[in-house]
Amino acid sequence: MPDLIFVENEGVEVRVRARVGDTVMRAARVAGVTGIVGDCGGCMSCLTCHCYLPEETAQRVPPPTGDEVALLEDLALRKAGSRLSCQIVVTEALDGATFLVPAWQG
Amino acid sequence: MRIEEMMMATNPKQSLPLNKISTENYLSREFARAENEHLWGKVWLVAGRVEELKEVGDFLTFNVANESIVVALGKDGLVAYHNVCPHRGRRLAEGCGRASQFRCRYHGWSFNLDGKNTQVLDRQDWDGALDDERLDLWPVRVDTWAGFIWICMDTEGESLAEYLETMPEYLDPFELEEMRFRWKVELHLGVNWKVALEAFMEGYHVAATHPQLITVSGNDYTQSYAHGKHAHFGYWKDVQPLGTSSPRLAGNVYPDAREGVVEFFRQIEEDLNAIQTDRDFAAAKKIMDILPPDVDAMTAMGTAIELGRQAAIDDGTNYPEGLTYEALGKAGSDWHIFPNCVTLPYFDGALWYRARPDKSEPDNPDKCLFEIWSLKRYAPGKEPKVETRVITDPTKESVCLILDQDIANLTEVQAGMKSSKFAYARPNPVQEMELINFHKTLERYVLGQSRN
Repeated sequence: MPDLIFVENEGVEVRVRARVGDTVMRAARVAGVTGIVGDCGGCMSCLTCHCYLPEETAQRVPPPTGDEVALLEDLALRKAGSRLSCQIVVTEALDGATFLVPAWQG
Repeated sequence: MRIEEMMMATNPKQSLPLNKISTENYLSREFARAENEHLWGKVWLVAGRVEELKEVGDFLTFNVANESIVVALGKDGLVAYHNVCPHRGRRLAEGCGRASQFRCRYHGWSFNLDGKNTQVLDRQDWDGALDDERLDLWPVRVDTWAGFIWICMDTEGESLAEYLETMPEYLDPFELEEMRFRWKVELHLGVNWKVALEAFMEGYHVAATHPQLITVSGNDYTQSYAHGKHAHFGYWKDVQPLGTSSPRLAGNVYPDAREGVVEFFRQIEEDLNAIQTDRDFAAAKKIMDILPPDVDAMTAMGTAIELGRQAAIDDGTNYPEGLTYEALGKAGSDWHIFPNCVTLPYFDGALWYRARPDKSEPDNPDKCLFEIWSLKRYAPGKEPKVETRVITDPTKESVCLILDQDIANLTEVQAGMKSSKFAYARPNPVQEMELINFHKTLERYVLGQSRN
């Protein structure tokens, strides 16, 4: 089971043991990471599971689909590394990967 | 002198026609419905304050009549839309908040801050039938003035600057855009929205409604003038300094002019908590030490105001540079901003009123939502975080003495106007021009022409 590291907006680091095949959003929610909301449950609609992937993490996951890229464009807090965590499936390769939580969601 | 003028001067029967305001305007459900149809969608309205939307994605909603408008700070500035999902009509946004998109909570249809539809769940089910439909949000015009966000649902017609006519010339020097909320009250009242607003549109009521105030407020006799759709009143005739008693009273209540001035600032601070500020009251009290007991009233008032100005500067708040004594005098005390706002500005603070039909029952002429906002100049970063105090029964909860006195008249007016012996109001042509002009303008919008 890979460990994911979430850095909440206040700077608190939360280490989460995630199940392979789950999504990063659900893993964060189960662990109670503050700031990952996932209002729509993961159907890529609500933009409330937004997080930033440092380059080192981004290299370990497949790139976003065209639909996700289009949605990311509307995010007020979009910057390099923005992803929707509901679209990232947990793999062993993500062990030790870091995800930064934005100041607000939606 | 022309013949007609001589006749006017010598014949006492040649008087001005009486201005009448029909009770229909306040009591009729048809008139309220006509307002909802012909007024609110055509005029520029205050939707909120600019400082309420600080970051991209911040939004607020403003409901009036049967309409709901969402205003947001987009990437290129303010945007405003009709707050309704084109799918099944659910309102999209509620209250205020922060979001990158408006997503309908019913079926998830989404719209970005540009108002563009970005998502229709299972769109293929329509098999192309939605392609020619307008699915983007309907835009509403939005602009800013005096630190307020203004919206206009009519996508054509006057710009905000045109709509405001000459008013900014009078009010810009106060720099209301530099002020922030000091307190906010939202009253749910069982009266017509105009009855509530009109309690603050003339100074003629002060002697009877606020008898304590005229012991120290100088000459309370007002004059009022229309400026297009808008109007103001002020104290320009036989002016007496603050701190002195009204000429309606025998004698002067405070023979020591300093005490009268301090008492004026005390009343405003404690009984109104608006326009002049706590800073002005603290500064005014200093005249007891620095002026002699026999100082004249004008010097006492002028010194108190100047001390208030100095206190604002020392506090880091500063003083509006363009606000000369001439500008203060020109503006007067109170402006009606057609249709539903009134302001009383001062250099250090201002009162702002906003009235509209109750959102739960906009066709009901007997219910309204009435907001009172006290604004104040603060040094950068010193503004407080202000929550709105919601009052549903003003007989049980006090706002402050002066406003309680005003509010106490409202339900009595709404009820009294329903008397079989009351057909129309008889506003004072000198002191209540704000009302006269209000209804003339209102009737032009609502009925197509004014009744008079």
